Amino acid sequence: MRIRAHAFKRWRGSLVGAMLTAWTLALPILGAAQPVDGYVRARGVHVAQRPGATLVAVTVVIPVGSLHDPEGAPGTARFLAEIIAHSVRRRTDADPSRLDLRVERGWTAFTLLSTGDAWTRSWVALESAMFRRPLEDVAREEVRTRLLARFAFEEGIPAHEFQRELHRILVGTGHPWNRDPRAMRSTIDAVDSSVLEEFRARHYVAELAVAAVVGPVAEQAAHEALFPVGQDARGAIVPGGDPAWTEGDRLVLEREVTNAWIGVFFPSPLDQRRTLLEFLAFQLQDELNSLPPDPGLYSATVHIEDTPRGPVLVAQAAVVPEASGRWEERILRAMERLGENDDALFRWRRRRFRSASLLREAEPEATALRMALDLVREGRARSLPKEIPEIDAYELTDAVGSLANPRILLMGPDLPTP
Amino acid sequence: MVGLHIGSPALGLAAQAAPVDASGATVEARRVPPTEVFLPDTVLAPPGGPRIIRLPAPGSGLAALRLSIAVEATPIETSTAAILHALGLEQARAAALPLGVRVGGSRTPWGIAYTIVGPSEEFDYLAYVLRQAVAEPGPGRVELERARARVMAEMERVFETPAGRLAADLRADVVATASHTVRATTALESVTELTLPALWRRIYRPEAMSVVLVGAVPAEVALASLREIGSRTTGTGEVLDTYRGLVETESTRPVVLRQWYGEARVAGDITDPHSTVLALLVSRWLRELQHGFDTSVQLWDIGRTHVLAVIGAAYPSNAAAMRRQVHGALSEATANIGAEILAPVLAALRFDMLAAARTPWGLAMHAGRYHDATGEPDAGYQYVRALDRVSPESLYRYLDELTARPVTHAEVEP
Repeated sequence: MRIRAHAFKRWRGSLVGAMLTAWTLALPILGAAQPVDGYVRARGVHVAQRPGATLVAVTVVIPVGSLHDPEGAPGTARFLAEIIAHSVRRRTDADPSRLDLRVERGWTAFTLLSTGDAWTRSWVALESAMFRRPLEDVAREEVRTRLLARFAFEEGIPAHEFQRELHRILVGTGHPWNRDPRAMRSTIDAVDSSVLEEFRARHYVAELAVAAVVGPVAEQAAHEALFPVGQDARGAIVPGGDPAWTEGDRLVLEREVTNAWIGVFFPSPLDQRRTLLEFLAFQLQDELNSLPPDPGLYSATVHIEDTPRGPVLVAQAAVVPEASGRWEERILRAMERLGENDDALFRWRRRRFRSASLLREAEPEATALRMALDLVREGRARSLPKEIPEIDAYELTDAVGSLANPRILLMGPDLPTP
Repeated sequence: MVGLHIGSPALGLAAQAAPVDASGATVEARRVPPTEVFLPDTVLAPPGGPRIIRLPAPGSGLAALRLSIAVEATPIETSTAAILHALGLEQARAAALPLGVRVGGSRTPWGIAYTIVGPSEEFDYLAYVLRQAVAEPGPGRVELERARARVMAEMERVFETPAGRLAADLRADVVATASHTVRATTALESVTELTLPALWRRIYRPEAMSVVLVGAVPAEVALASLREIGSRTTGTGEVLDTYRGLVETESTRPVVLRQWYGEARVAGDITDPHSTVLALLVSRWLRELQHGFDTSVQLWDIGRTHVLAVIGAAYPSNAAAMRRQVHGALSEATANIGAEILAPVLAALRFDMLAAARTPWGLAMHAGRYHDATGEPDAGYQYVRALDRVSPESLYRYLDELTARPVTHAEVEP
């Protein structure tokens, strides 16, 4: 049986839905956390037991990122998070643990990886650094020095310009979400501790954070250790409605660089099932990296950007300049083909996706981060091993059909006109 | 008939269908202490091989298969195994592509190894990919030449640098069987597509194979899938005869700008963690010193023995100081080791080990490595247990034994 979608149908819905944000207009979950089985289980904490794992991973997501940087001080979110992470690493140097940090546009994630017998001790160090203990002057200055040195190395990279333009296209010029989470030299250079402390007091609130714990832990013990994290976590409200935009567009930036970058952005409706969207992203990436490899291709990746106006499937390719026209067309056609599903072909693709998901989440810290972000986005942690087999070919075809017209960005030398 | 040995009755013989929590993770009534994760629950040793060792590691939904083949430490076997390994890896990767299964492979101090990882419920497919890895290679000359070039480049890389040359010289002096690496490049050039099948039959014998299985798949299922693996015929004496009498070719001469000096000594059994603890202590001590020259510590697996080497490089003006530091590294780094110094070192080692084993393939590699070195299915587990027993007193007893052993020196001059 073949199932076919009319890809990129014109979206005629109201733009009101697009103005709602799953991220920034999130509403608090009603009611306080209720005792369950004799202990308080927070809505914003998920515990996934992996009895055979050797380590425990704890991810805490603070709902703050470069989007929330104070006016005139871009980079405050990252600077603050780096200082906190640095002082935790200094304090837990002798502990069997590791702390990873990610600062993005709308969130900051601290991921602690530790042994089963030491994770609560390391967690206390992280928790107090995030929410209670004053920022350390030594840590601040060491981080400042390190970040400034890195700026000197990173400035002027053409790929960064492409990323800036990409994000501008996704939500429009002037939106605070466009700020680069890597921060600005001027902020790192000048911001003082009072600004940082004030920023932290406003955004680092344990009850509003979410967390996921993965590993050989008892659920009750994990909830008790993390209390009060997540007690008042705001569950994201998925408004249901239109994608980020309805009209396609194409922007060409002529630059004298050695290769060309292509970005094709497909906006999805806000209420699209996440697992389905991830399946689509996985398949598109698979299509773009088919064998034998294209001689004009350096790299092709597909990921989902959670913009304030909804999720957008972002396909990017770095190619030799003369292949840019062909690759723009190839990305568009590849997405169209994903709407044509043969039953057997679909089942095979779904097995591949399941395999890739399991392998990607073999590391407990990868699962913990994904689950914590699930909590932020939709108020629950997904079970991928259960959800993936439930996807059927019709849903995938519908998902392709629900994407609005793409916007396209090309950057490089001698680019083709449409 | 199949010989059956149960390593740990506590964990049971076969995995049962387990409940799944909201995240999809498998939940068992009893959490497994981290150390017990390293303990095999089943060992199957059928006559004629391959031996199968299972670690259940519940919760990930994945199964990992690590197959290792013991290879004799002779130039012929080592070089042929390297080519066969490269060819097998290509075959496995091609077979794994349709389902996106993870394929890895490495040449180890004891032979060669392949690791295949994917969903537990795709186990039949994983076994198929593994069979492809060890299947007799096709007659393709192009593939053979490509594999030979890759292996040759890897071998030559060791001798292109003074550090590689110094390490090879030290290894050759400490353990006689380690000296084959130089001569192996000569044997490598002599392998042809006509001799390759006979060499495959000799090396890829099931009785020389061991499989570490990590995941919720009963070991018996693995055995049924892998019984016909590898070569069932032997006898390649004629082929091996053609390699006897090969003359060693001139190996690559490194470009040397500084004076290189190293000391090495046999540091005990591979399952004794004191050598690893000592290496980390010396490494930290060296890192804190800044004298205008480079020094490092290395720990090599040779057979079931650890060899500890301290190596330095300096321009002539600093060469004497560098030699003194290399020579005194062991005694100075361990001059005042108390519990407060040892505790963070042990914690770091334990964490690194647990972190490396947090994935099914990492756990399979840990268990497989110690099994390959010792032939004991639970050697990896014994190592983890022994690490918990290291104390300042045991470390000093170990140091007394170590310093009584002969030291080997080597140097590479500009």
